[in-house]
Amino acid sequence: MKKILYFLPLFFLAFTACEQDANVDVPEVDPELVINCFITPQDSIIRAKISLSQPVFGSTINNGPLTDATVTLYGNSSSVLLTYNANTDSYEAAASTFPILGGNEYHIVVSIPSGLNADAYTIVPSAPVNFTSTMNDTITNQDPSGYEGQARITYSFDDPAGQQDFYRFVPYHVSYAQWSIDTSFQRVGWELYTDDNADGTRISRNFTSYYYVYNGDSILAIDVYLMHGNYDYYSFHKSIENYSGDNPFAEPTLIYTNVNNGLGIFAAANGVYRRHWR
Amino acid sequence: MSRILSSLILLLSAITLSAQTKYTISGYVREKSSQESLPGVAVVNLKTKSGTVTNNYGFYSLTIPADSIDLFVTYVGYQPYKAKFVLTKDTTITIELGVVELNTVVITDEQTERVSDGTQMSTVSIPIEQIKAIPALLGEKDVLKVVQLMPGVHAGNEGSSGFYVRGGGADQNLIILDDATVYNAYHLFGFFSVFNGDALKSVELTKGGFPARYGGRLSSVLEMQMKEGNKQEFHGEAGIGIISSRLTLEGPIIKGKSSFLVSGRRTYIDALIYPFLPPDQKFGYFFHDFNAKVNYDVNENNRLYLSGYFGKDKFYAKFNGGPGGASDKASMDWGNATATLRWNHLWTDKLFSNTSFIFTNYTLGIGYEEHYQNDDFTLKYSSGIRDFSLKHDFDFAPSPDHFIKFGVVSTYHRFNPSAIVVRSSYAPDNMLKQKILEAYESGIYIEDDWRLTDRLKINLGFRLSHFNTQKKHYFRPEPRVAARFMLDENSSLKACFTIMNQYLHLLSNTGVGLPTDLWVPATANVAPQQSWQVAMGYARDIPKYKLMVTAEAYYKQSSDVLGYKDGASFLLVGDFEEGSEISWEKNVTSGTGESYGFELLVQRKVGKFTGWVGYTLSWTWLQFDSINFGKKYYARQDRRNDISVVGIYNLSDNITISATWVFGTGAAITLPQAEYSVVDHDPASGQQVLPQNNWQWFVSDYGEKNSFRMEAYHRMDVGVQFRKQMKHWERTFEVSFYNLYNHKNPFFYYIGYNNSGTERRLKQVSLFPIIPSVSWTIKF
Repeated sequence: MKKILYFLPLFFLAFTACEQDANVDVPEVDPELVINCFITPQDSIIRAKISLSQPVFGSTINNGPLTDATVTLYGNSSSVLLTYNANTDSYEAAASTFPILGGNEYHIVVSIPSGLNADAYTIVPSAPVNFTSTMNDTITNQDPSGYEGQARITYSFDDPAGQQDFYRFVPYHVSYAQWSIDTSFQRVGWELYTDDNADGTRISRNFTSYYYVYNGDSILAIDVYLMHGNYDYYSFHKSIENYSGDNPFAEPTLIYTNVNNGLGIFAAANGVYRRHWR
Repeated sequence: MSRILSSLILLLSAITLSAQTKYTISGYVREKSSQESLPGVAVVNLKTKSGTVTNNYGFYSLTIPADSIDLFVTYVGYQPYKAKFVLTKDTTITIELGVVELNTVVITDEQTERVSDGTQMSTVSIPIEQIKAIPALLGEKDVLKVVQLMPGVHAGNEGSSGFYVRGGGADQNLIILDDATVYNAYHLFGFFSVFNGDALKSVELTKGGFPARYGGRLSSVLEMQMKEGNKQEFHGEAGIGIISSRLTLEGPIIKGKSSFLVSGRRTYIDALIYPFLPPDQKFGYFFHDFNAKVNYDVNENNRLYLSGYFGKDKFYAKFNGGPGGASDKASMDWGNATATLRWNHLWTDKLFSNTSFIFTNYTLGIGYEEHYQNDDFTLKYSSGIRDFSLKHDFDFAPSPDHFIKFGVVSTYHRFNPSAIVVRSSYAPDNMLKQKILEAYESGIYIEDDWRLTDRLKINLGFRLSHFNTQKKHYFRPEPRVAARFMLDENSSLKACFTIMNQYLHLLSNTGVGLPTDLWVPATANVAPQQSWQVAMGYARDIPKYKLMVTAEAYYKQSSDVLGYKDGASFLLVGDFEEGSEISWEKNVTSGTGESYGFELLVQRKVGKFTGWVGYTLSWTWLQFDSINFGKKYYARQDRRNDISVVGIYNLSDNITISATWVFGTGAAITLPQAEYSVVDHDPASGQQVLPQNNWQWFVSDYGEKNSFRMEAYHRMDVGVQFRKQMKHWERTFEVSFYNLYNHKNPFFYYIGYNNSGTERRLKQVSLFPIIPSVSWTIKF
């Protein structure tokens, strides 16, 4: 039905429209380094993905992960070299050798043999304090092949006063499937918000996740993470959340970047984690 | 003794001078043959150079000292009226002006219209005859497209009737037809306007220096008056063009006292293609509009007018004979209806009032029906806005130095952002969702056009506007000031300052006038838009060449203008398959706008050769905290240079040729420059070293918002009209060419590939190549 709507304005155009190469200079840009790195004090591995952007106009380049980049993370009055791990297509370092600390600023510097280099700075926020959460799980419907239900997570925490704060709440279904020997983790969306109109207060929110479980499978728990992100962390996730691709009737979304001389994101968050067993 | 006597005479004469008796000349100015009242006619006493203009109903009132009078009444396209007499009492004169026959040399040194005299600036009025002579796309004469040819105004997209004034949005124009607001002024997805030139008497666009009687929009007021109909004789006009036919009839109901006018237009492509479509697949599109007006002169002091406009567009598609008897049907229709009942009352020869009761309604409907075996599914979506207004305006002319207008208007708005009805045989529950929003908008105003000295005249005005919705009240004062200083007989300096408020917002993704564009009220969360504007100008009349020249510079700042958050889409405010409602308030954001520029207009309205040259140099910026990461950027409608040239030449009594040429800097748009992939942060995989659960996003790098310029737009249209007087009627045959030199103006860009499919290219879609059209009109 919606397709018919999109089609309507084109009905008229179809009779007269004519296509040709545009008679205007297109923006000529060179490939740029793309950094994709999030750091948190909780992660056991510091991980960065490095690639190149593909200019829209011009010849096709390899925009897969780069393997020959030099990636250095500076901070804590020290630095660490991240090395390439082909299994994850990422540059990695163990957090045990280079801890990420709340309140500290970090600087990532990337260069590749062709001479391109890019860098970005980010500051790690403090962790949410006095975080409490509860789950109310109910089965709403049952049928011969399984059952459906909803898990409502209610949580609250203290927001630091006198500053703008950004939060991202990320829930997971921890489930067991009869055909698999591993427990699987499935992310079920996220919620992004700020402390606008609630600065310095105790913020209370809830999130309801809906599920369907086939007979023989089970959902063991709901894991939740509340990430206290910085502006970079929030803005980036907000922009990809808004990203609507090529919908011609939507406003184009500018993807947030804080990378100098390149694209992508280097952002930090500090989180808390809870597991709610069913 | 003689000394005393002469002193006494001197004293007496001084008293008589200061307490000089004044009388009022008042009445109506009408067109001689049809008795149609004429608005905007200059009525001047040449002796004192004091004067006035007729109001929208053709009424004038001039109070002047008892003396000999040299009355001069002029209007574009009409023979001027002259009368010399001695004013000894209050006098009522109904003035009848005859049309100037083509190629008749007007025997007067006076120019028929002057730009240097009035305090009002930033205003253009366009004679209907010029609108009818200017070549148009597919021969459909379009008021809004002629308005777009004025400096400070430009079109949004190729072929679109939507217009932008002094950097303001397409939603910031108040379009009124006989006092009724027309909410969606476009047919056929914006390619044609709903106004039928045959039914119109006057068109006036105000871009700045708004008099206090206008309010409710930030950027412009386009006021149109429908013709009243000939009070003496029955007349008609019929035309056949490429896409539509039209018919206008007018005539007396009671001769000299009451008349009617009806005018209709309909497209016929659907009727032509219908027989050629397979019986199981039918689709089509049409639009029609209908104007009607009746008026009745109750007596000398009371007149009644009833006018209405009804227009509709409809697109439909039907498919039958699918497997299992499957069939489906889809349709989309939209249209405006307006009705205005007006009562003119003359309280005294100095005080005139008009009371209007106004109704306006815009609706969009989408219907879908599906039938398969025994299952039926029906869905109906509708949205719209409906207004009822009461307006009471007074014109008071106590002396030649003061012309006072005051009044009050109150409107009840009823918004229906979306109503959904779903009936399905799968689900027994029928779904009905509707949320009506109500709002009250009012304004009270007073303005005085005050002649301080022979050289200096000011228009002081004040409007207090009020808007009430969802228990929220907005009261906004709106001061208006305009001044004119005559430098010499034919030239003046002008300046103005205005504050405007807009309490209605248009949600639109394209700005081209799609029927899905939706009006919503300001709310407690989304504040009304506000702007202030200052303009300064120079106006000069050159009677020798009958030229009017205006040069103006303006600066406009707007606050709380509406912007759409990244990724927002308002194709429909509601997902009707889900029955859910998209909260538009969450998808919009408020910011500021800034525009400034310079406009030059050289216009000639009378003579064998008429037309104008307009030039605009302008800048338009927008800034929103949550768009473009807070940095200010060029609005899409930012246009550095804009030129329009319009020429109409009466080659002979029977042949008129006309041409227009337009040039405009390309629109500022956002274009992808590069693509790359990113992942979001997955807290679980980092903390517990789980398999990565993050999602990969393939995104575009656009650079800064609206940092790319489309190709400059330019186009030339030409037309020629051949007229011939037949026995019972006059026929006009017109041939015209839209886009004469076939310049492929981009409508939109997309990213495609070269012929071998190896390299991406920026491709453009252009709509209208050279388009010849013919039309045939008879007037009887």
